[in-house]
Amino acid sequence: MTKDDRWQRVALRLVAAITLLALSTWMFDRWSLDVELFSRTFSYGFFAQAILTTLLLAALLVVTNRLLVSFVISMALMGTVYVINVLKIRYLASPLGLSDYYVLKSLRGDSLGLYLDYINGKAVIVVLLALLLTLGLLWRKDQPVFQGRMPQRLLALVAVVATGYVVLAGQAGQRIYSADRLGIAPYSSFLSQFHGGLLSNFVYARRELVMALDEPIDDGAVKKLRVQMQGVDRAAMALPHADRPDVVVIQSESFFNPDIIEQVGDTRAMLPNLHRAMEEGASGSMAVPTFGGGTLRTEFEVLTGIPLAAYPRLQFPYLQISRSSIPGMAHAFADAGYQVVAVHGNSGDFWNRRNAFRSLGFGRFVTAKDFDKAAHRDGWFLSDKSMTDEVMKVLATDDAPKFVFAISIEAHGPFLKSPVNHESLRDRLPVPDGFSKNAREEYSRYAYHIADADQELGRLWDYLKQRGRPFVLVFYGDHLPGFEYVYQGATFHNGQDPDKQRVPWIAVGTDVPRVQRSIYSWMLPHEVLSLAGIHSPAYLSLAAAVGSQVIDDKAPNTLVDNDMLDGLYSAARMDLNGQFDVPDEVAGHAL
Amino acid sequence: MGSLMCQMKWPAMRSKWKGTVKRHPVLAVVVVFMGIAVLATGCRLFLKGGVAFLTVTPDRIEQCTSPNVAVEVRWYAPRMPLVNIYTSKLGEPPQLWLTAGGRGTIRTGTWIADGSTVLIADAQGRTLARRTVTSVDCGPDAPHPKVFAGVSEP
Repeated sequence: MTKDDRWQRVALRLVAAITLLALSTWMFDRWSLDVELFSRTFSYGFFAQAILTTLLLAALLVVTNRLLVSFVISMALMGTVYVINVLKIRYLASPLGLSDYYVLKSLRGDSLGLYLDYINGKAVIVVLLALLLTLGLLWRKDQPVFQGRMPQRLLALVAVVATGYVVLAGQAGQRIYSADRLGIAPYSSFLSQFHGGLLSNFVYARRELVMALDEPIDDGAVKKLRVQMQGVDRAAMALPHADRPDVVVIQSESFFNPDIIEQVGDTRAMLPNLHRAMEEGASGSMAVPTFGGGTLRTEFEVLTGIPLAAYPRLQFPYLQISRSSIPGMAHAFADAGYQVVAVHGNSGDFWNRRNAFRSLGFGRFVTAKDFDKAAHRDGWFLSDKSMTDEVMKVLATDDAPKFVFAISIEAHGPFLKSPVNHESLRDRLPVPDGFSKNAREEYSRYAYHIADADQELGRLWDYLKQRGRPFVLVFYGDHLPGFEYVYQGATFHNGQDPDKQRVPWIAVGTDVPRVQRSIYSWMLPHEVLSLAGIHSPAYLSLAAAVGSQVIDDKAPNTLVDNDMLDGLYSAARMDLNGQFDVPDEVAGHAL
Repeated sequence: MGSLMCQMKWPAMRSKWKGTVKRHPVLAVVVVFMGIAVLATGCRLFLKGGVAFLTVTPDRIEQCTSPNVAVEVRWYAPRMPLVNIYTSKLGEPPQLWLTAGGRGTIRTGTWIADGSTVLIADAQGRTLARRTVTSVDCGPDAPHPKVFAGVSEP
């Protein structure tokens, strides 16, 4: 065989592999969306995605020097990406985004369990073994492409790296993967994937994420807003305390009151302490910026008062914001002489909380490894009881006033097979007749875990009362749960979809008045500080005032576009940049 | 052809195949893929009640001014006395639209959008055919539905 014949044969094989990989990846893409397998084949999005799969294949070819091996690895990688995409769509009602990379980056061994519960471990091991076996066999049979020709191989490497740079980071890539050409639909990540393919969306999203904090600040809108808000009372609940009260804020995983579902009856027996708190203290519904998952999004809004709508490209704030100091509620408590402690029964590295909490002003972070040896699991993770025990331990340390922010994890999904420690208790909880078999099972396990959360709320409340010290106890859900079956048969009293429902928030304690109001999660820090009698920073005070003007109970979880919100978003950006410095007489502080 | 096959010795044939696979491994993979596809179709044809034909007209819709349109659905499932027809929008589970005979034509309401899928399934829920509606490019100036600002995705 002549030299030309050999290269001709290699080129033919390469073209065949590129074509097959592009087609297979596109079919994986369609499959993950549950649409016709060949829809939009050979569209712009198809070819844009084919460039990426070709780059992957070429990179692997240069590294392994074997075409078939590279092809099989590429197929396996693509298959894995799309299986994960299917799982994410199933549980979180959203396709994979590049921002999920930040989640992967923060994964450690102990937090990996959060995700392993969603997959079939045995199937993964079998597939991995089969893949390794196949690759082992192919390695022996597959002929090296660059048979001893190192200069050619190096040249190919340079070509792949250069093309990769141009496509992923260069101007050409910006044009190829532009929103218009790919058909990016900002209102629907599903439609964006349908038009451009998942991988093309990654490339597009990468640029967007890099610029996530690059949002404009409109000084004029902020000034106008300050003037507008001068007359608005934003300290309706503020009460001075002779002694600083201990303040405990519980962010309860996936907690909502299921009585907003038409098929579910009265939940007083299941959630007695939530109902008692609603009758005795401050309470209402709270609009949160996430559904089914993404706990840190609500958490970030509660701790900083910054609406994530001010940063539309910011998906995972703790991972994407790298600042030595992030203003908000924890800093306000620290400035007022409080010991500021966070408690969470998971790894401190998950979501990059350890670093983020330091920036947010927490002096101590109690994580799973610090929990008592007697701490136990209920469900997939450490129980709410174990978390409450830790909160009590923190409160019992000395007489200094404390701000404790505790994040529960017991009620983390998936729920259908979620373990429960006391089956008899689960059996006693009412389950709607109208649900399917799977939905009933899923709901009953979820109900068991939120009943636990409610019980622990009651236990902590009783504990705080019997201590004889002033206290404020705040409790809220971070988002609605990511049910796989329940929502298929559930309808809500307000006629809205599941992702537009709100979670409950309550506050009880010393001198906490009985009031009801709907809030956004970014309004909560002002409420908490006011209830504790702490000077609320100017920005938090302003955000609460604006929120009270724009919240609409008839359109749950939505923000209407108006000038006030534009002003607030600019104010929020200034606050994050440390530029929001308003004189007291202009801002009109809470106290 | 038969006599030629008979003249060829088995070890020689095997060696020839091995040689072919060695020279054209990608081609071999394509052949295997196609073989699997042919087997799957055959399995569906002879064991699971046959294939079905489904068309949606138009299958490429103009969405530049209106988000939803009506389309005509035609189906033919030769060996099925009854089929279930489901529709779904992107990211949503299929909803049963109607149960009908093995052959028919019907027009939907104005609720088909870009990415909507129509599928027919047998009584056991096995998908027989599916079609997904796509849209023509509206260009960068096309109006988009209002961005839902209150809830971001997790």
